[in-house]
Amino acid sequence: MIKINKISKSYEKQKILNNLSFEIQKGEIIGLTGPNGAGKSTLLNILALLNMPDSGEYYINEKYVGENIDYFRSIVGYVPQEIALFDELTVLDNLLYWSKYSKKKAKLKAQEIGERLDLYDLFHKKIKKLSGGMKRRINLAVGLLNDPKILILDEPMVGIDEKHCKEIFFYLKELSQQGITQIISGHYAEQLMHIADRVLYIDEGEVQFFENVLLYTEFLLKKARSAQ
Amino acid sequence: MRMKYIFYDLKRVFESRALVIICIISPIIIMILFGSIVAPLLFTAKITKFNVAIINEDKSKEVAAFLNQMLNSKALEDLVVPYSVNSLDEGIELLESNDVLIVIHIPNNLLDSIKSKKKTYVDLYSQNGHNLEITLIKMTLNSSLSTVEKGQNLIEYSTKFFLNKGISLEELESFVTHTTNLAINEFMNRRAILSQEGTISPVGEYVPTEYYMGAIFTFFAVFAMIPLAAITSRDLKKNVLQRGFLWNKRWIAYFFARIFSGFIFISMIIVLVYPSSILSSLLNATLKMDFSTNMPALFFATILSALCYSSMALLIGSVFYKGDISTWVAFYIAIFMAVISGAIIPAVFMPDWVNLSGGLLPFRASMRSITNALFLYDRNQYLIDIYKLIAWNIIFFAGAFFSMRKRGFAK
Repeated sequence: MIKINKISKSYEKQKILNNLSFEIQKGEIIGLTGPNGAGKSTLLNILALLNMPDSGEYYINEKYVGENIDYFRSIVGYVPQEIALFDELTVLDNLLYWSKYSKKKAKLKAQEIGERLDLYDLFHKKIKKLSGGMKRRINLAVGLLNDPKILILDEPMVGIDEKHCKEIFFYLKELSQQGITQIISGHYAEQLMHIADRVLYIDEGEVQFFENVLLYTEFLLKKARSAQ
Repeated sequence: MRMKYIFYDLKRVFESRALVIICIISPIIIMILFGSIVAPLLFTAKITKFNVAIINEDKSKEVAAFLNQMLNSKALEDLVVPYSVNSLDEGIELLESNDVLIVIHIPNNLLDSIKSKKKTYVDLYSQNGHNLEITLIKMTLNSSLSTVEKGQNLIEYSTKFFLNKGISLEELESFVTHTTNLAINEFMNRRAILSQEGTISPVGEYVPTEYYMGAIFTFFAVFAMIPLAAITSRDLKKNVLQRGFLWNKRWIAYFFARIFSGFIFISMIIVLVYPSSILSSLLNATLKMDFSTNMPALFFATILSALCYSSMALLIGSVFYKGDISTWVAFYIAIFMAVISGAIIPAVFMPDWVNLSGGLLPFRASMRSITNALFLYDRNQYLIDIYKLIAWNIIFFAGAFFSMRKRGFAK
């Protein structure tokens, strides 16, 4: 589904990603983690087609993304870390605004996602009147609106209460079973372990660990021992 | 699909009802305040005096007295410095060298025309760009002549009445002169009388208001750029852009939607100029003033102005999109344009190079085309200003288009 081949990216002569390579299968959920400044956000931006790498290739379904970037952007759903909504509009208006579908289909889709993420009661409230956690859920809902084949989520659970976190995890698992590939970044490994199939740990722009989630604890222990 | 963007953009721009109401009613409040308080202060200040050349070919003492009364009236005494010149050619020469702003030519048969109840004519000459000054003189002359004409019947009747009663001719002459002077003086003092009674009716103070009406509406139209630029720059910040806000040619839809909603927002502020123009047309009809409101011209000037400032707001918002800088940039540009274009300090008191620079800006073109269409429709001047507005529209539209296009592409 996704193939990253030797990608590198620098900002102001500082190498952020260094010859990074990995592959992700269809429907997999990948937990992306690493220390601050490891290059997680840069990698997410490249995966979400927001930025292009300086070198290396990015393939989706064995096709080079640069050949038809508009199409690939249309199949990638991105949930940024910061709230990316229009404060002046209601929740429903935001969902309709960001939808690529016709008004009728967009409404149906908004209702479906609204019910799954427990947003239905908020539909007619303005974004600026909602709490941080509520905004995060709507931020996530917008990323799911256009039936993406690949979903990139940058720390989506920050500020969301436990009850809603569980609901979201359950929904993301369901989407994974439907074949939607997901890459979820997070600082807290425990959160990712609940949902991820594999964990991608990067540090200093390089892949340090990319294995089954069950082996991740062992990797962390080894890392802690070597640090001592 | 495109209509969706326009619909939601309008919803966003008009989201704050308080802001919309403030933007719409502010020009009216400022106009009333300006007309009743600020303008009279400004127009009686020494600094605003201007030179007037007078060619009086009617050598009668009545006309001399009439001129003296008019120039020393409350309406003009602190405003004009009269210079007597011998010929029209001399007056025009002074006008061309900018030594005087207005030339008043009184024909040799003025008194006879008044006495024989014929239509009286006084010629006024001025250069373009001195609409206010010529309006002041024109209205005062009209008022004075009208008073004299109307008073003539009464004076003639009184003269016959007193002659029959055996009053001497000398005493009668003195009475006629005194009565005419008194009538003119009372008429000229009407502004002071109205002010004492606390009237803020445009009848009392409409001379400054009419000139500043264009300036005030343009001022608020330009200031409406600030919220528009702010909302645009907020949209172009990283988080919304990351969501693919401007991808796949969405930026074109966004661009046109924002131009349109900005245009509607600014138009709603300028739209109050129409009832104001109807009011002044009524005054014109009632008081027999020399206004010539041209509604199609006014409509065209307001449309072009609203489009111009909507594009300008989009350009500012898309160029200065980082932080909150666009709000301040829009604010300072608006202030700068207002000052340099003569909306705050009359252009005639500014250095030539400032005046010339101000003349190139869209603010002066908007202000003058609106005032021109409202009151003193001068087709040539109006067309020059409209061409300037069209040129600025093209510049801002193209600038905003390419700036938005740049924002729409990933690095």
